[in-house]
Amino acid sequence: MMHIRGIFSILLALAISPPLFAQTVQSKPGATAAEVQAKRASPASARTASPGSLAPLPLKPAPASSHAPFEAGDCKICHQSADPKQPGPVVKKGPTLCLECHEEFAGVMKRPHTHAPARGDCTSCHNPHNANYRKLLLQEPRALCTSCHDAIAKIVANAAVPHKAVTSGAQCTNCHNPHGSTVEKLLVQLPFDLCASCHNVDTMIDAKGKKLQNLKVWLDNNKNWHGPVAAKDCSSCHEPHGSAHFRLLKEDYPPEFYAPYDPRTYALCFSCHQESAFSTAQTSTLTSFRNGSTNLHFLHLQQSGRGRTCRACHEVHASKQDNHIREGVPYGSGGWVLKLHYKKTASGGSCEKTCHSEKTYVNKPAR
Amino acid sequence: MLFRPALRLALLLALTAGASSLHPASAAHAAIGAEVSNAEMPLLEGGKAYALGEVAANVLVFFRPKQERSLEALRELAQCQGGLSGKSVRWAAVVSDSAPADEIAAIMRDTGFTAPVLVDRGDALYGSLGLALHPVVVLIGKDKRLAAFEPFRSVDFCTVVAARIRHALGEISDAELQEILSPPKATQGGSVQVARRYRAFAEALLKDQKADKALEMVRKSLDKDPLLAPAHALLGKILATQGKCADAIPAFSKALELDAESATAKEGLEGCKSVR
Repeated sequence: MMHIRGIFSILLALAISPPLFAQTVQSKPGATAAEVQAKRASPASARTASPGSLAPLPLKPAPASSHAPFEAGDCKICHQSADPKQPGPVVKKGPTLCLECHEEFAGVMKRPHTHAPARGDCTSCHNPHNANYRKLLLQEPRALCTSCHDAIAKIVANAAVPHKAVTSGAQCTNCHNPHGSTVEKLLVQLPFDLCASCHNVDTMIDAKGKKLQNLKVWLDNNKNWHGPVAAKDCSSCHEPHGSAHFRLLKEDYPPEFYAPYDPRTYALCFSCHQESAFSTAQTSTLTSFRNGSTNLHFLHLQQSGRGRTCRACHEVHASKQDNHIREGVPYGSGGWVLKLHYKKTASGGSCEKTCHSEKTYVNKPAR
Repeated sequence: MLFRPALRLALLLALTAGASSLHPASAAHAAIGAEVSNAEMPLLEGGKAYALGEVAANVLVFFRPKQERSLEALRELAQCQGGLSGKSVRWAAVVSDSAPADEIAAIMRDTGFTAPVLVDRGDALYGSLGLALHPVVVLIGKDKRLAAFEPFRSVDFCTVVAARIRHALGEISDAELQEILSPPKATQGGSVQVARRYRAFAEALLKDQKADKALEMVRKSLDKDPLLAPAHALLGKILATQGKCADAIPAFSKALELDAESATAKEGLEGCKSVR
């Protein structure tokens, strides 16, 4: 008799399991809502789907988050029946049901950029009953996101220089709104506004313990901003998910102030600026840093035995002086900073009492 | 023959460090508002064309081969063009005469960006505009004056370029342009949203004839947002359902204080007063 009861229990569990134990299926970025639904329905997806069931989790140990109607035992808010053991199918399909209470998301989903899983099925990411992660998420944010966004997963996994915004706290949702946003790539704000919201303290350090710049203070005090900064596009130069290069840079940037000229060292700068502007000895068009047609960038960079790198003269984010000229450059091993007294003039510019005595350049005809 | 075009270009705007009035100075171009001379330039496919057309917005896209950012920019602009078709906009790509023609042609084909390709002899136009990078979109208004410079950006490039063009066309105001250039934070959640959810849950429970539970939920709503008028109105409705008009009337009154148009509160108040 006990044996029969046990078998009956198993059979009963199997009978009610399909609606409760539906596996969530992750879709690849760019998938339409229909593709998300189709993938969920596919038998193959059950074998390859990411971990995360939609069934209620056991109540002990207590889940991290619980959906109010489930917690209150009000199955009929979402299901056809009030019976928790056999609640039956949901009364409406897709986000329509969720939006009856989560009405603010109707507005969110009208934003210009929306997330396909959010358009198609809230249960792509959320367990509608309870979950071991906050906000009823099926997994912790980064694991959940990278189950579809595998290219990002690879960047994060292989990064020699990790970004704490990705690896800690709310992880991906530190920067991205997973439902809808006014900015591309579901960013909560433009890159600069996001980055500056954290990089605005004196206490931030990198993985090696080196202090990072307080960007807000720096930009407040230096009004000549580099183009990408003015365009609020930090990701022009930085890879926010993690990078092989220091300071999360996308490409190589010369770490030294003096080095023989090698264009490969300037891969970051040359991703925007023309290499020919620095390797052409004579030009009247490629650069305004010229005396007549003598290219002064060429002169400074290609000097035999003492080529200057970009950072010798330029600040990368912002400067007080025009043309992003820095105030001073370290010279020698004694810690002395050589001031760069740069002056922009109507016909060009000049540098005085610096690496050399005053020198003036003219790149425009005199009026 | 070449002297006159070169001379025209040489008369172009003064190279001061002006920049968009909407951001701190970035000196990688000439002054906004300066006049641009309309030089005749060779076309990649042969023949010649003037740099500027008789349209409300001339969009010059400076790019170079073997640059990933140029490819990305052109692909995005190809999509952007569709949204601006039929408007008084002329697109033109501009490349250096040092760029191999076959490479440029392949790029135009592969990215889907549709525009005549002007060949900039000796980078004259590039230099005269004070440009220092690629790719960059230069917008010239119908007054033949520089209206905007937009270097490629990894986020919202098409959105920003389209906004600049629409601003030049007079379709959006300065304030609307600024809103696009500095979009508001895409927030979600917070106490107000949670309050609204509890209110909606309470309404569903009341509909399911679970007044006690509905009361619990609507009170949670008001904990989160004491100024949520619909929650006060619903509180009144629940209490009235339970025959507690004495408690319901203050709730309806509070709802009307916060929202004088609340139909639920008006009906409820009337209902309770008639019972008295």
